[in-house]
Amino acid sequence: MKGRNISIFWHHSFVMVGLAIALILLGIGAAYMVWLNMLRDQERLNPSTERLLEVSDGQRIPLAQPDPTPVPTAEAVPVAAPDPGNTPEPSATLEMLPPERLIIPSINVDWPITLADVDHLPKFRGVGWIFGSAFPGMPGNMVLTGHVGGPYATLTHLHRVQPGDDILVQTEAAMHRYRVQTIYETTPNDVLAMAPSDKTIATLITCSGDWIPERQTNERRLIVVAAYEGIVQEGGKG
Amino acid sequence: MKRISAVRIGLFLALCLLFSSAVAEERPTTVSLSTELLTVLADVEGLGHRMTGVYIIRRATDGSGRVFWRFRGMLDGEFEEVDGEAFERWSLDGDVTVELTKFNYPNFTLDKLPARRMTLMPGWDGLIVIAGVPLAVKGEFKAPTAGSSPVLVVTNAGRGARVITELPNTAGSPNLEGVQQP
Repeated sequence: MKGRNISIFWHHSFVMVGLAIALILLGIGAAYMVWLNMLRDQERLNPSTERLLEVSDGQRIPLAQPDPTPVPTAEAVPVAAPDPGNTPEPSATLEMLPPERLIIPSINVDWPITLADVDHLPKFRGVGWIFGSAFPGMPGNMVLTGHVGGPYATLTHLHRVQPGDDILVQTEAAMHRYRVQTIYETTPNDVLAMAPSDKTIATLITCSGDWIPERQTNERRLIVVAAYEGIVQEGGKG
Repeated sequence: MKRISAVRIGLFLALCLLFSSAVAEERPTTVSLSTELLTVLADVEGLGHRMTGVYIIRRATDGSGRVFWRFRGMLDGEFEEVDGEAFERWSLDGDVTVELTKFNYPNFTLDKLPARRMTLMPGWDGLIVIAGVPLAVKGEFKAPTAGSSPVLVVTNAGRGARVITELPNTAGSPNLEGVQQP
């Protein structure tokens, strides 16, 4: 009888130890998952890896990390929202949003941007974002063009910008900063200025040189190339 | 003694598990409507007008079919900005019906639109006809979260690749000096 009791006691003990080991393993697994999630959140909010942009002269420019924190401000929301709890939420990642405003503080430029075609530029005080060119902050050549004179003049004083000047491009969700790298004049048929690029750059084009009445244009084009620096602020319309 | 220890360990771990799951549940979640961005670049001519601009479309990913859209661009060179809402309904065989539900533009109501609903059938192969104008669509258009292209490009069908031989003519009359915005 006593021997049987001892046997049952030991049997129960083994079951309980087995159960305990299983629970230990489950607990470790769950704790690991929680820790892993916390680590991911921390990394998302405080990215430690510096992104660098290599520009033409070999210089490497640190790029701003896209801020992962959504900015659901009323101004940043693209459409009328019926109630604040149901507003579209801008993505945390860099989105393919069109440029909406061009700001060049050094020459007091602040104009709206709209999509435009090479042969169909804005017939208002606005800057054209050439169809097919890159989105703000995305790799490629974002081509912006504006009139130098006349009733739709926007880039009259573009010749005054200097290397190092800021060129700000606002989208619905962010303000992107480009920094002027190169300024040059060229002929109207030098379409290389609009060529795609594997770098993240912006090219601003306006007319320059003497007026040619028979062609109703200027003899040259002023080209300003700027390299991408990063996002200045989230919430482009704020 | 051993039995009691094992039970205690078991209870302790069960509490740990409950605690860890509670911690996981307490992690902050967003209450905003989750959307997927679709950007449509349009440059089309038809019915005596030319429309060049961008539709920024945010499509609900919760299956509700809600769509928030905004157009910003030019109509015949003049600046235009319109926004609104719509619903999209996808069938299993790939049909999609889009219905405009809001159109925010001064002195304009939805009733003035010739059609508020549009159905696209499968097999459209990037070609659609809207109001008699054949249009080419570059990019994959699918239901939200099903892997649409992030950008669609809409142009007149048959336009083909554009050859650019000159930089834009951004001249203005030399007698009219542009005025900077104050």
